[in-house]
Amino acid sequence: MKLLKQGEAGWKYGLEQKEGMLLRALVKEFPLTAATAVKITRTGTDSKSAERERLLNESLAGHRQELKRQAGKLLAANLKTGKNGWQLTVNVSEREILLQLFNDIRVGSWHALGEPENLDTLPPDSSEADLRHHQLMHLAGYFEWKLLNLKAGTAVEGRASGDED
Amino acid sequence: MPHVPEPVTIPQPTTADETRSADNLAPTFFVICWNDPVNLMVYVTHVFMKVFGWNRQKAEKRMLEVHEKGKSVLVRESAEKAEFYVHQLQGYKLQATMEPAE
Repeated sequence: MKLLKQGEAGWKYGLEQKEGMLLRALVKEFPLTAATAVKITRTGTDSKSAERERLLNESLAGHRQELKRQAGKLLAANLKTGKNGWQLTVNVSEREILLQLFNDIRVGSWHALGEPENLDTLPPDSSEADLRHHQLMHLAGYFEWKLLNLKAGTAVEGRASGDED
Repeated sequence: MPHVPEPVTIPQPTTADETRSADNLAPTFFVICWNDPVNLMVYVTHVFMKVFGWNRQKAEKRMLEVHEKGKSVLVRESAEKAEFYVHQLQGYKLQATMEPAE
């Protein structure tokens, strides 16, 4: 994946055949965090905290639905195949949608794996489902990193330690 | 040496209008972002810039604080605003909570 063009209207990325197919397959996995209820506080235990937490989880569920609706339309309209691969064109808000979607898949996969500290290796007794979530987590991280780090005309080499590539 | 009288400070009377406003009395909350091994550092920086409107330098500083110290207190706000920020950060899948400031 490389950045072909960057302007006020947004970004145009070029993807190899395999990358385009992986991107389409990846987006279909969204959402993966739906089953995970989140906490709004680590210390508050009063009734207000419980109500706030309920509202937060409702809000996140609505947000996921909206992202799913937008992402389906976005890829259909903005990811085009050609003889040399695929082209993805996104504006600022569309890039935000993709970033959130990729990160949902990445974090959801991590939850499914039991929230390991070590993201690089799987235990020897891992299941097929674990292997799949491990691959999804890294694939989502790959596209996330590319969206945020690619600069016009160059493939960025430097990155913060611990980041995906 | 001539005697110089000490200055006298006369206390100003207070009125009911000068009491603390309701906003000052309302409880405030810290919005805290907690470290995890899964969110990319570059992504966390991006989210801080988006949600709080911070420049890259400030956002990276806070991201590194989360990474190195396990958490960072991002802002101190009223309950309503803290809740808003937590919703935003959780929407991006960061581990963010609001904790009572007092």
